[in-house]
Amino acid sequence: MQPRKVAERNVLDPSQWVNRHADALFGYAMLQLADHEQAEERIQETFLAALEAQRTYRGDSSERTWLMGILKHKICDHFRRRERESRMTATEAAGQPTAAVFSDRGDWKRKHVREWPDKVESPLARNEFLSALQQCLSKLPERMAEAFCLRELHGLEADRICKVLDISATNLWTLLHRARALLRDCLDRSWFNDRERGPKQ
Amino acid sequence: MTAKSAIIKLLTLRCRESSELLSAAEDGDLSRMDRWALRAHLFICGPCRKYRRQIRSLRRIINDAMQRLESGEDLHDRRLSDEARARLQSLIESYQG
Repeated sequence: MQPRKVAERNVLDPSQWVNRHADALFGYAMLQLADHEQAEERIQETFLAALEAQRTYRGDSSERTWLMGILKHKICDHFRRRERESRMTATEAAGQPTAAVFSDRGDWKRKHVREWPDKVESPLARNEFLSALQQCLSKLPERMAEAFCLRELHGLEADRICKVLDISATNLWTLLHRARALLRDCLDRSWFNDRERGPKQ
Repeated sequence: MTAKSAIIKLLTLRCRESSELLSAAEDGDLSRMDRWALRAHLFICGPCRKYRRQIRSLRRIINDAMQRLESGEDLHDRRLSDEARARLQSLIESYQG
């Protein structure tokens, strides 16, 4: 029997990759690397790996999704390399204080926090949200930001992240917890606060 | 954990520790003791209930934004420089050669 949806299968067109996907890949990489040069290097690695792997593409996912998948691997590799080179251990990063968020007794400092939406509907607002997220991520210690990106942006399971970053599960939980607490606080001040004042003119 | 220390934990859990457990619950399973301590704390603590809603919202907003980005939506304020685009284009062309 003939496969029914042959015509709808995606095909690769490397000559159009820069036009169609480079900005999206760059935006995604910049969220996590916050450095133009680093982000560009990851895109270059992604395209090279994709060119090498063209024959393995079966057309099940879109060209964009396939390239994004490769980029995620390249970002993981980058984190792993940096991990080896860096002297700051995950334990040190996990030890970064969350004093900004909690009182000495361990209670929330700011109790009257607003409700957040579950989704951001318009592309423009999403753009603004991701910019604010990047700003807030760039304020976190490197290790913490990496753990958070791997978990929430790449959607990796905890045990995979422990392998990539070479840390214990307990360390990872502490990193993720601190990252969430600090990001929540940062985004609440910058992005959500901004939105309550109404859209920008 | 002894019964006594379990009860002490139930009674003395503060927001700092509760928020740690809330976060850990998003990434894996909690022990039965931790689940109960957290449940008891959430019952009496509005800010922690709100914190849980917020970190879940944060996860959903990011997840949603990532999916849209992967499915083709661009970030309009992030553009590669023209030089970088040209470099990448010639890299691809020389490979395809």
